[in-house]
Amino acid sequence: MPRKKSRKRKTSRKRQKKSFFRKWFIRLSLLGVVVGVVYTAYLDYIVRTQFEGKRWSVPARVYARPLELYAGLIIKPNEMVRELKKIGFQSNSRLNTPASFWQAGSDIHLVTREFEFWDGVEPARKISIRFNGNEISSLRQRGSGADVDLVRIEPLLIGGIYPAHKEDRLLIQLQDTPELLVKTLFAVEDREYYSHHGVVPRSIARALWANLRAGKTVQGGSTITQQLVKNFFLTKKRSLVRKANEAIMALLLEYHYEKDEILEAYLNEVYLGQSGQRAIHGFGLASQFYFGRRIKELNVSQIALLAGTIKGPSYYDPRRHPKRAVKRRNLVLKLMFDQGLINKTRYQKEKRRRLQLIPKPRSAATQYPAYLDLVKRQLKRDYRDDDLRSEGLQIFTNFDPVIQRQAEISLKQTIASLEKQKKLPTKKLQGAVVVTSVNQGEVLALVGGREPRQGGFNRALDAVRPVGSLIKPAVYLEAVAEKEFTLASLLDDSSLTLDLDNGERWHPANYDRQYHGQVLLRDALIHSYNVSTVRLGQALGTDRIAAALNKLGITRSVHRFPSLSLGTAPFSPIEVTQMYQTLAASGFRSPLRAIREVLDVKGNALQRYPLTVQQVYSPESVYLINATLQSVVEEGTARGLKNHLPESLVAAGKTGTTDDLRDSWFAGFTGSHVGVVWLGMDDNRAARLTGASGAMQVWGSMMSKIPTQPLFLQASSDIEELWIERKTGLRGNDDCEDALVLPFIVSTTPREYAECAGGSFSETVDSFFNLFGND
Amino acid sequence: MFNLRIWQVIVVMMSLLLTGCGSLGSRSTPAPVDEPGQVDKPEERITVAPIPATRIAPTEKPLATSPQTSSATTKLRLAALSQQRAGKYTHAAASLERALRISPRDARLWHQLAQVRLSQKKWRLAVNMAAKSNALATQQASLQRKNWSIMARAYRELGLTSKANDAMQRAR
Repeated sequence: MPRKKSRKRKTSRKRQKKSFFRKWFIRLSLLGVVVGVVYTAYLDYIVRTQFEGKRWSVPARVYARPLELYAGLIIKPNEMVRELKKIGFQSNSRLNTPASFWQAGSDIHLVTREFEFWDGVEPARKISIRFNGNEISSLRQRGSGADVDLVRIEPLLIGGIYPAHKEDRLLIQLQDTPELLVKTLFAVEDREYYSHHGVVPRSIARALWANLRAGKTVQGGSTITQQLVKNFFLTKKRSLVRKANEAIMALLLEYHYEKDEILEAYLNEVYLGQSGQRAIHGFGLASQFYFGRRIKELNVSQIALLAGTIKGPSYYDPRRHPKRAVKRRNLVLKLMFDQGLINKTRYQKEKRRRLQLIPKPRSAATQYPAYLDLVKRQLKRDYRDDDLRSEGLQIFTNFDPVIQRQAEISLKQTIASLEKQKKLPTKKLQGAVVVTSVNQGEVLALVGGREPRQGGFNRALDAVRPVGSLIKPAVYLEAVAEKEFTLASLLDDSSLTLDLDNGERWHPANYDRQYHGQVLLRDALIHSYNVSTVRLGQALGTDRIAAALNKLGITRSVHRFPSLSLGTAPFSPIEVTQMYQTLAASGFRSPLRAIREVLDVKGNALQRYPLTVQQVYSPESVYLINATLQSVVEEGTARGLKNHLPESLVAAGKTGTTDDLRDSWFAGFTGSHVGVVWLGMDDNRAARLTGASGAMQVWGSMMSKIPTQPLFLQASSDIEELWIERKTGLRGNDDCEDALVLPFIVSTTPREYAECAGGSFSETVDSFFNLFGND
Repeated sequence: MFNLRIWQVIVVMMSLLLTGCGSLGSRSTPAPVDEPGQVDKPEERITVAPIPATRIAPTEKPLATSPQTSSATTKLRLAALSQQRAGKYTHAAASLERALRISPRDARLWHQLAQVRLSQKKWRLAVNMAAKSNALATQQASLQRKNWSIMARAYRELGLTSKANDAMQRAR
């Protein structure tokens, strides 16, 4: 019994044990199911949030101004060809591909591509351009020969604003993708794409078997969906857990989303190459990166190459390993032929083609770091930094590649020759150039240093240096604007001593170390006399000079010492440019703008930065100063410009030199362009250059090479020109020994006549007429 | 890209429970803003110099050259006109700006731009554009009168009565 009992006990213990295990097994299984469900729900959450949210950080793209072609445009044919090539146009005598051109004699034939601007689509066109020297004489439709008024060429991409991880892509839509590319992709990567549910167990098993036999991974077996999941949601690490996650997520993705949506995501996600730190993702960017083509424009062998590259973008890099790449491409072509995607003749033809690559684009974010810097700073007023790097914004700017190139060349060459001529320490002399349009204040070119491709210190924006005599036009403008002075007012240029507030005494001196006695106001500006300018400044007061600078567009606060009128206040080249833009535009200030429009990733306009003007001085007052600045070039401190400029190119400008020849400045304008140049050393040591011997040389060389209009000063009916005797500033005539014609605002014309012009007699006549009162 | 850690799972589960698997958050994108520079700022520095209309100066300079005209400018000017009529002022302004890049000294373009700004009730900008047109239209009396009339209207809207009256006089 006891045995029985014990057996019984044993059995019941066994049973207990069994039920205990069963209980726990069920519990654990249930827990497993719950965990499984929860985990799947978690994966599902990830899949949906990631896929439905913003899928990628797409860098902002920055474009140059579009080249507008019309009869009458001044542009060198070679400059135009250079720009076309940079955009991606290819020379092709048959003109049978989009974005191709052919230069023949004085004609350039073009096949343009459609481009979507914010205000409408510019259609693709075939046109013939005839040049007469550097001017477009006619623009015709090819074929019909009809005259074309205006063609807007797609703009040159000048840079991007990248996210930290440097993934770059150009988003494309499935409908824009060539069918052949999609079919080839299926042939190479996933033949059953439209029939599976995300994973194909058979392929996985086959791959597993192959891998086991080989003892390493030789076969993938992943569907396109799995590949997308791997790249999109998971780490690069290879492990079983990851593989399981991948499969679950692929199923979930297929459960929630349409095949076409997943395919489109794949086309944009797939990694296809590397350019320095920048990773090239998606077919949209890859076709630009390798072929300079839009995805729609790819030919059969280009499609085959891209489809073949997915397997190993580094191993099959067509630029580094052309032989490997051709072999891989031809394998894909064979596959295309076998699958019936192309016929035999096409196959035979395509496999003999060259790789048709464009030279590797520079890996740097831009070739124009200084200009891009300005663009970013202007954007930061309206956009968050994160949006700039991730929202795929399209930014259209005023950047003009033709002018930029000449500005860079002129700066570089002049610096090189000055270093040689003046025996300056090598590679020390620095410089900056800013060019804008006169009437709109559009920033067309910006050079931030002698090595324009290198970023870093942007002297055009940040080199804040004393401007010397560049400030004088502000002082003189303020003097004539309130009609206290005229160009014929006499200023005292004799020795001067000022007691400063700090107890020190100051003796301003002229550059030539001479005093010039009584001088005409306009002569003091033309020859940049310091002493008479200080006296004029004293008469106005420093507050008014500061206010004048502010009206002209300088927002930086300035000191109030008497030396302000000699330009001891420091400004950056771009600030000086704003000041001279206001002068050049007859007193109508336009805020300097780099950006025209900002579009979102889909091409919708978010923002436009329109042309604005604000009149800050009367055109008549500014006319007097601009006429004088024109004389600076004709007979004053900038007469050396004649060595650069053709006689027909009338210009106005002002030199600026600071103490010990540290800074060399020139600011000036033609009829269509304002340019400011600074030369100096970063460490503020003497550059041993005056404004005329340094910066003006750069300016002259640049202006002579860009398509610019001569200055034409338009006098209103309120401007009157009179003969003035230089010695006395009184009215004269051409019989007087030293007389000149000067403009006046009518209400300020001098009454008194000089002796040489009849003196008191004329005055009598004048006062006689005044009896009848015409004022 | 995603590191699956247990605490993340918990956090996500909690948040799922809390939100009841609700809608998935959407990201804010930069708000569409049109032409920030056009906003009328209370600017006081504006000085539109009165130009005596009666005086004729005995100038020895040649008369102002006629504004550059080209078929491209005309095309854009006409496009702007039809955009104006359709009430698409931003587009009209943009077309005129394109035209001005080709013919920056064409006083008619500046005048038309003043009209566009007037239609948009951007009074200050309209005044300045009209003044700019006048500065270039030194020999075109009828265009000057039209510009003064724009200024008169804009000044009136701005409540600057004496300036408005003065401009009105010149517009006649």
